[in-house]
Amino acid sequence: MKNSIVVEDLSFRYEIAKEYTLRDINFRAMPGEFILLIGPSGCGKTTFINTINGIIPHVLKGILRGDVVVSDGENEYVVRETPIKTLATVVGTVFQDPETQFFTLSVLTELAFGPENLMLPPKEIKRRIDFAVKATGIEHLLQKSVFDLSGGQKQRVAIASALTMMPKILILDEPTANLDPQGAKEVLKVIDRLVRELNITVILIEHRLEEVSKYADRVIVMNKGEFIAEGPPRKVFGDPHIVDVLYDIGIRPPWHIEILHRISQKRSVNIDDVPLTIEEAAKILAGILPKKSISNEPRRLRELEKYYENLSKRRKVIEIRNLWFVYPDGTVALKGINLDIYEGEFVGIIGQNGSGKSTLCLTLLGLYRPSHGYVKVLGKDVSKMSLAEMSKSVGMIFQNPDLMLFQSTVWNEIAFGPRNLGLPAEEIAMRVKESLKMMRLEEYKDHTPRALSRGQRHRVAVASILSMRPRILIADEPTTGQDYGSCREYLELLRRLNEEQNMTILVVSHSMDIIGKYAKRVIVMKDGRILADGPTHKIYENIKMLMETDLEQPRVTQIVKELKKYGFQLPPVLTAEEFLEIVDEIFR
Amino acid sequence: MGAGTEYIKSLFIGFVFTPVFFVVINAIGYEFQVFLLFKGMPITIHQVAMWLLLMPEESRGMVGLVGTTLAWIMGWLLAWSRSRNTNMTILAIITSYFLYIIYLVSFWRIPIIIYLPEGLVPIISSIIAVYLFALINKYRPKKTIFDLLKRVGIIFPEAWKKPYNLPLKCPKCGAVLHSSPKYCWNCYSDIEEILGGGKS
Repeated sequence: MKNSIVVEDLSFRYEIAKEYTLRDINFRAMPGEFILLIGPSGCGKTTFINTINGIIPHVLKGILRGDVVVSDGENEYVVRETPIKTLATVVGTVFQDPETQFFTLSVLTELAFGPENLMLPPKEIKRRIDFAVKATGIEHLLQKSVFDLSGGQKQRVAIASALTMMPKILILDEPTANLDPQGAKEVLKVIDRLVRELNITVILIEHRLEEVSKYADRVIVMNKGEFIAEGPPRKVFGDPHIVDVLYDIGIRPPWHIEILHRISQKRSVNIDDVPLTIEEAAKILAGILPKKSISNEPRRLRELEKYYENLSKRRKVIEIRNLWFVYPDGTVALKGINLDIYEGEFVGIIGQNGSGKSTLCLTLLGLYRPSHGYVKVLGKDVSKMSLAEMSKSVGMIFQNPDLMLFQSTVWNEIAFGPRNLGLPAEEIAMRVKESLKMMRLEEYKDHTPRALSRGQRHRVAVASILSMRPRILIADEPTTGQDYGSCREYLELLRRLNEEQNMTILVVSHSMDIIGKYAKRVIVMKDGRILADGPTHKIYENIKMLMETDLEQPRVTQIVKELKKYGFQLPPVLTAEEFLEIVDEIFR
Repeated sequence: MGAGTEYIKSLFIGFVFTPVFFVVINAIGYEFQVFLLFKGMPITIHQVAMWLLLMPEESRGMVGLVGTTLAWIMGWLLAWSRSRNTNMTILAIITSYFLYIIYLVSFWRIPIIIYLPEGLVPIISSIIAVYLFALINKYRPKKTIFDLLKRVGIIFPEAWKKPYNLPLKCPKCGAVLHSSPKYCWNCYSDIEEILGGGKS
């Protein structure tokens, strides 16, 4: 069988860069192969896929050495010599930020755009749209404007529009980053179906390794522009040396593999099998753990209930009463929200796509005025405050950091807010230096923000907010598009701001693991209402309620539940550390 | 929006639109030959300002007085409707009166004579009109977002429209709640159902 992609001795350097982003890459992919490409932020993953879809060298210029050849099964195309419009019929791409690939205003016209440009007959266009719509489950979005979609919905539309081109190679750059857990599962199943049934070659860049590793035929680990490891998932994640390398470069192996790895290291137990699913992991654990029931909850969780009950002793920083918000098109996004947030809280806001999480945050920020009810921040009614006043109290880091970056240098970017407050030059310089230091960006102060990696751009966005010294910080989807290392670094920073400066932190996320690890209080939203609000572990225990919102328990909690089938009675846990605490107790 | 901004907004709208309304009233009157403020003659900006201050003799006749007062009232009601700040609008009315005088004196060197009591009729009428509209607006039943949604067939349970005094206590287990959620975090009971809420 012919290879669908052949890459030989590929090196690439951007025009403005001093170093090569890709170095001597050799790679082959077969039709119907599902390849998972992993690596830290800024390692060259996106550059690599751009050499396959033709964006490099046709759009992004630089020095390209070596060859990339793609095949549709009948013909072979040398990427550097083939026009991008021809390549588009062979290689479909779904980018990290779906907005960058929308051309039209409505979902339906967006889906029709690609096939129309291939001059296909209307019947064929309709057939392709029907197929793509069904595959991605977006029937209800067809008549909507692309601007009215939530982040997750946009991503589904982007995948569907790539599918309408019926490509033989599909490249997906973190397609599930904006999706809720159930949405992500559905999309991965669709991608897997495309591979198995339509024999499409898929290259997937993804940080959610737990879910995707069971589908992948091959995992490629990339670092500093090179492929440093390659093989089937069980081989890559089962090799202790590769796992150590993964940790070194800031990649966390799938959680269930990591936990077994840590137990085997600590207890000197030999574990030969490499699990790719939670069920497999529970089976292996049941085989190595002495059968024992533990009733004590981990200490942190015991304290959470008391913490939640005593919150009202603190100063109230956000007061929301009977808040309703209706978009101009009549969509009722918030339906009677009553909520108090107290000083120094670390709150996680979770919920499926379109549940009203982001709208709630934008209302808190004063960008959206309530249609009914009120929002008070630090005792002041938000609708009576100017945006300049609000920016001193609340800061928000958006899902897409690029929306916040528009200055020529990192220094100017961070100084922009304080300058607009009319602060003296010495005060501005002091605040900028402090923010640069906190975000470890000193060495990039003269760089152009947009030339930095996504993780670094995220840090610049946070620094630009920190320089305003807000009392409340809202982080919308902080884990999107970040490797585990950057993600942990970012969340640790939020934790530090919360603990050391008593800053109130609100994190909106789909990552149940991240929220479980950092948030003490969780608010679950569904259809513009608060479904539940309480201490994190109590909310996570209620599986029925989580299922109602297309969310799922963190993997570690699921493993504990799975272990019950093998006769283990264990208390709920939210983090790997808490699980290891329980394992220690079992071995004691 | 602060009071200062609302004042500037009122002043700008009232100062600009009162002369505009005056000219429009004049034009309509001319069209139907019923309300001839200038006997069908072309009019300049400073003449409009003079008419607004009721300085020409013919402006103080019944037709002139009614037409000018109507222009003042319309201009300032428009200004109030945009700023919704009654006190600032009244302050803007007084300011604009002096601005017309300053304009005539400084640009056209026209000696100002205010004929009393007619000269104050437009300004006092506009102040009374703004007050009356503010009062009517205060006491008339307001359309809420729920009325608008009801009109398009979207109805929500009454329990959802109530503001709650927080923290609440779960009616079943007594757990503290810092919001008004559907489910209690402690006993997982459906609080909405217990409190007689319901579904959308």
